[in-house]
Amino acid sequence: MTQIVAVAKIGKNAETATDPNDFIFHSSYNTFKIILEGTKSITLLASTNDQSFTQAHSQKFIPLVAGFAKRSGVSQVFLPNGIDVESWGATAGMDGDIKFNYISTDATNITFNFNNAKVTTVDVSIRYFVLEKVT
Amino acid sequence: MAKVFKIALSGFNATTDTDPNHFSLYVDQLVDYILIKEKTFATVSVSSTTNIGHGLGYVPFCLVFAETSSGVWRKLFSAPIDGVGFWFEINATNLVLRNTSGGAKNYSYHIFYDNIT
Repeated sequence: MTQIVAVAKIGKNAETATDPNDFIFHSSYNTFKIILEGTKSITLLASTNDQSFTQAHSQKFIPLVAGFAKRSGVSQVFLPNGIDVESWGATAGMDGDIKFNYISTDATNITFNFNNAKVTTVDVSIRYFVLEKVT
Repeated sequence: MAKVFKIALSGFNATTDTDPNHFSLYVDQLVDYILIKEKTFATVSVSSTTNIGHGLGYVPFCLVFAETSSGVWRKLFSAPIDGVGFWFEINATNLVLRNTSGGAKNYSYHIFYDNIT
């Protein structure tokens, strides 16, 4: 008999439920793990695209990495493949001068890549999560 | 009373601490903190469009990465604004891997049981 550790959601029976979505935790399913969590502060050069910043991940494998960026002085965060949408007046419209192009990893580093279309430097903080192996 | 199953990180008290960030495992019956229960993962070469059947009948949470150059893996999202490059889509039948870069690339994908719809 297979022995498991499981905690079902309220209203579900841990002994009889078969849908993985009925469980908060079930030892038969790998729960994805955060190996490392960190923050990095960077300053984007003015009027420059394709700016890369690296952070050593210190893992013995190439990890999956997820990350979120936040421009200094504002509250919203934005993801890779996305822009920091900035509204500048109810009728004036909005722009996205800062773009988080991508986040990638190799055997040594995490790379964060940005565009900055503003004519000034921009301070950005990044929170990143180092997850399990890519392959 | 909700049943709990918690393992605190070193330096924190599992019986009194209430911050989920202080636990390696934090399970109650109220909030799905874990979110992701892995179904499968694999690496596949994608030259244009590759369907990965998941057989779940609903749209599951997925993570996909592309090897953009040798040994360099980039996290993928939805289609780029210009519609060129690497991305993925998920429906109730397939994880659809897209590559319009013109050359085959290795994709690493993780499919989870968690229903995102």
